[in-house]
Amino acid sequence: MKSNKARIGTALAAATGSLLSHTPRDAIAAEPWTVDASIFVYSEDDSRVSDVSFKSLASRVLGDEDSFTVGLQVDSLTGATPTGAVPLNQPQTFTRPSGNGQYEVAANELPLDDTFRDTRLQLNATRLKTLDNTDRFTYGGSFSREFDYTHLGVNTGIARDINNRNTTLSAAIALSLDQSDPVGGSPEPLSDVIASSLNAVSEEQINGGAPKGGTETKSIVDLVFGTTQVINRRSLIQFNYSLSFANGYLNDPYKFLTVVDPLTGASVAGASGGSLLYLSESRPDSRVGHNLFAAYKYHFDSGIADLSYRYHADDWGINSHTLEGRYRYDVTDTVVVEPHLRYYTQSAADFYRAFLTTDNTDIAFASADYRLGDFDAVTVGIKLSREWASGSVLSARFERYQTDGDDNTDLPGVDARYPDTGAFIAQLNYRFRW
Amino acid sequence: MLVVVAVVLLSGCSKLGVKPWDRDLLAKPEMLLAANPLEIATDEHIYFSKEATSGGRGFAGGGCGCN
Repeated sequence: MKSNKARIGTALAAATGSLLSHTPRDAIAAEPWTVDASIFVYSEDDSRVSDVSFKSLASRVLGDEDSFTVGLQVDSLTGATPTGAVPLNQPQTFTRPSGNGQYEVAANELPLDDTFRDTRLQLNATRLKTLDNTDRFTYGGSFSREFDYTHLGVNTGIARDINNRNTTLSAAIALSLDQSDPVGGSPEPLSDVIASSLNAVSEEQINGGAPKGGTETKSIVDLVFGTTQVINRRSLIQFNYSLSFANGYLNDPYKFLTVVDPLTGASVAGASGGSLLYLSESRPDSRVGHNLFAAYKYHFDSGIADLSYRYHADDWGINSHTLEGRYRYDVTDTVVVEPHLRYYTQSAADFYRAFLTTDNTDIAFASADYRLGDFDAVTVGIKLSREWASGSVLSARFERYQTDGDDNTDLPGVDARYPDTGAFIAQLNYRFRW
Repeated sequence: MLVVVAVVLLSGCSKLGVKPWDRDLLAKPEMLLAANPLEIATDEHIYFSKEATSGGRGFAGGGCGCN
């Protein structure tokens, strides 16, 4: 499973943060760069996905409320990830996406694709300019590259302060163009995986084996409208509404579904002549999503509380709620501790299926990607920071992420337990002036 | 409906706020809504990769088909 394209993450978060978080800077001359450099580790249980990453963000104030931010990130991804196939009471053999070699899964074991290895590079840059006393605008770009995926993005936004700079209104738009070149080609949706793999390896024409496509593209348009309001000397609140349009190839080319008998749950034969049938997943070629987001910060005497809530809905039928809280507590003048709690709940996509049966394979869309299923997730974490008079800050955070999804019990003969994710997250960050 | 809500919120908002000399706490970098952009972006990346929702605080971003 390939990780994503470029999450227009770092610099955009900084840019939109600058636009939408209204806190006027004092007039200052050009300053040195403020640099954040992080080592980040994400490690899932049971030898699943691992990510070790170097991330950095450098920001320079160019004048009164003018700044330039550039980000660089390198990820090394390893491990194994659920393919969407379900455990069966017999061993299963899968061909690697490249067509070279196979991997075996024991009976009653969750099939994981262990060829998940990639190195990913991401670059982004944003410029924030002040137009006059109350107006700001940003523009920026992002790029990412991994073995089978390339992303290119641009973004721009504006913000205006009103009500004596107590209210900020903002609007921003981002455009992404992503290109994927799946290893082994992109399979025809709902085509026989084994037959397609055999086709890729040999010239022999096999019934049901569909030829694979090559390069696939996807475009995304994001719009964000926000308002930030100072409530009183200690607190402020932000509301955002965002709209996202994705079009093009939205499938995961490496994921598929097991097809079983609708009565017994036993595996069925495919066109390739073997005793097992898997069909490549199929998702719609468009997705329209809405987010409603609210964030609130309150400055107590000895700490700052940060609460946020997000509601998401889209035309894939996915609804989610995210509730997150942090409390930044000053232990001493130089040491800060910040506990973090996040709760997430998601309803499944309309076309999410833990598996298929022979009497429902003529549907248009189906995916067993566990990330589109029904589940809750909790993150618990703590961050410790040490600050120096120079403005340098060393911080370390440790978190635990755990999902709890619904097992599918439609067919007693099929073990369709939800492949819950448990992961440790650690990040060591050093912020300094340069 | 959204327009009505926005107008009501905005008119109410004009009564909230502080005078410029009361911005001592609000001016602190840690009071920025995006006080730690690298950490926020890191988390966005994690949850975008493992869940079916992204964005809200900022852009939803290039949804990956691998999502």
